[in-house]
Amino acid sequence: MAPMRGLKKRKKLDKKNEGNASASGSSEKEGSVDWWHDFCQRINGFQSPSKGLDKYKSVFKISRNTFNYICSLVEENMMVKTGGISFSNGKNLSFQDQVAIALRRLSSGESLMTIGDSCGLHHSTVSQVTWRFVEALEERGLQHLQWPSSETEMTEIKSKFEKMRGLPNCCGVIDTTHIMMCLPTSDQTSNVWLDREKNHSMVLQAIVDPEMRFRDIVIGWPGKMEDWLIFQSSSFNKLCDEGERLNGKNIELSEGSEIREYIIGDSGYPLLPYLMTPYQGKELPELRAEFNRRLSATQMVAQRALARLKDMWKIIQGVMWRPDKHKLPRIILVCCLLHNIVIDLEDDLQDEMPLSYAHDSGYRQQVCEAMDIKGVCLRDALSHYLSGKLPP
Amino acid sequence: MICSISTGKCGLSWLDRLRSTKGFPTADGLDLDHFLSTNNPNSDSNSTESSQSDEKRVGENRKEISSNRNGDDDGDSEWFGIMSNVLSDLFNMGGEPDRSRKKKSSRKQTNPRICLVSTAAAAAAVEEEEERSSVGCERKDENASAENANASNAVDRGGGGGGSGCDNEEEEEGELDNGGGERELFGFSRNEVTVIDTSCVEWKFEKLVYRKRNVWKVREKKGKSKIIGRKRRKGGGCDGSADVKKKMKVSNSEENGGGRGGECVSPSKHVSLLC
Repeated sequence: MAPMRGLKKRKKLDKKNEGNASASGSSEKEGSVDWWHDFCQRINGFQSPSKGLDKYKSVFKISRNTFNYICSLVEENMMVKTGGISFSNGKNLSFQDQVAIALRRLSSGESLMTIGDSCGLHHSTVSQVTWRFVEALEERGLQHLQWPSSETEMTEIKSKFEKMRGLPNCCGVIDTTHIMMCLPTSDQTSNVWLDREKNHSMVLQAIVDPEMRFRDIVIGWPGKMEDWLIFQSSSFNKLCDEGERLNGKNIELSEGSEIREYIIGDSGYPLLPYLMTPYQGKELPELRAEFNRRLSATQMVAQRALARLKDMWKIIQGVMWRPDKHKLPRIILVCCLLHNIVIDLEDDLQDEMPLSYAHDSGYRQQVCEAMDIKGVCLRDALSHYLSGKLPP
Repeated sequence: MICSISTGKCGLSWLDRLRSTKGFPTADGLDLDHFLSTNNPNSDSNSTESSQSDEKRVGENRKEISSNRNGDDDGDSEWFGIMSNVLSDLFNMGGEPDRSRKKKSSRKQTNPRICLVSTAAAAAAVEEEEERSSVGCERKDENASAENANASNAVDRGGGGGGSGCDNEEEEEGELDNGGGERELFGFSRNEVTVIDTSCVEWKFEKLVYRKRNVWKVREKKGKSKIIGRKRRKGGGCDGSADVKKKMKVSNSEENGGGRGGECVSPSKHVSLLC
């Protein structure tokens, strides 16, 4: 299934999903409304469905339409094995029950026990259902997390970035966040996960577009690895280095001066022809200081994206208790997919989310002094160009 | 003291008595040459010479034996051969050993040397050592596929497989004597990680991460091996960033070029990529 973006596509999708929901849901006629009614009754502490539609959003943090779309994505995979999962009262979980419980687990970050108690499920059932959902969505939803494939799409992205703070030909913002884990400190096998801030963590590197959509992610490297090292080991870097990515048209900055496609990052990344980073040092000349300001302001989109990711899908926000480090990257991926799906479907809820920038609180800025001479030249040309241009 | 007293009972010394009990001549014919040539243990022989002189004589005798072998063959020569070998073994004579009884060489080297295996693995290991000792060591792209098989095997032997939620890190402090690849990983801690990279066609894969201080090595489970980074600890900022600079090769042609076809070598040139 191709990525769905834009209002028209969303409406088409909604119609389609309504059909799917009625065909496959546990309550045929009223579809998901009746299902929601039943689900609310099962969940302890929730109010009646009369007040339920708003509650729906607060429980799952997504709209009904988005929920239905997600169900349509994973239905085929999850319906393959539906038997054997039941509530404590013996009633079988419907397919939508399973999706709802998995979403609840991912969005609330509550323990298996807490969710199990509130839904009348054994905690192992919550785990089983969540993992089944993760497997299904990572297989079916990956088209929601892709590097722009068409020139039109890329042109739109570049245009939006330029409108932000005037950076021409900018294609994305790269940033890194840490998913913290609680591992036994006495166990030396945990050392590799111990990052520079003395937390056990797994690193998530993301390249974000102007709409806070993740366009490229790398997950799974231990927290001890620095940001620049993870970037250099990434396929994105390889593709750029080989000229297979960020290889679109150059933009003429001035006579005889052009700028190629690039992404921007903070000072924890090396300065490369395809990765612009801020000037380092204090008391910089105004030209450079202005460049840094624009770069920093544009970078906020990545910080907001990561902050929203963690805020919305709280399972990766806190400190995870001894997680399976082979499963955790897949859970993070699914959270990123859900994050993108909410954006792609233009879910109203995303506008209600607080605009936080803190996704890695307590982590100091890394500094990587590596630079490529071409990158230096391009950055200088860019800063000269920006100095002569007022911000939009 | 008692033993040293000559009894004089039979007029025989303790050595004579010993010889007589063993069937050797006691008084006359003690010359070993004579003894051997006559093939008669009871023939007269008398010798009180030291073992050193015996050795000399036996050595001489062996020469005779070897010459006799080419001469008239009879049962005596065979007997001589056996005896001379026994004696040479006993007294460790410096003469030329019999080729038919070549002594096995010791499995231990008398002067141990570093074993240099002429494989890609060894070359990679040597390169790495050189790089480590050099000033500008940052990271490099090594292509040591031959080594990787060994390393992977070693890992499989030592690791005990993944699958569980537990981390599979272990200090490889044991002997790794199955090849250069394993030796290269000596002292490295090992972790199995699952990495997701959405720009990679195969977007999810398992890696073996080896770490020794700031040196990281990544190996594919299926056998590819690459070093993705190495840096030296330096104060402030990005560790090893100075090394990155040093390692970077820069071409100033086409300063504002599109990046394709330029000779500029970014750090990524020295980094092994994962896909």
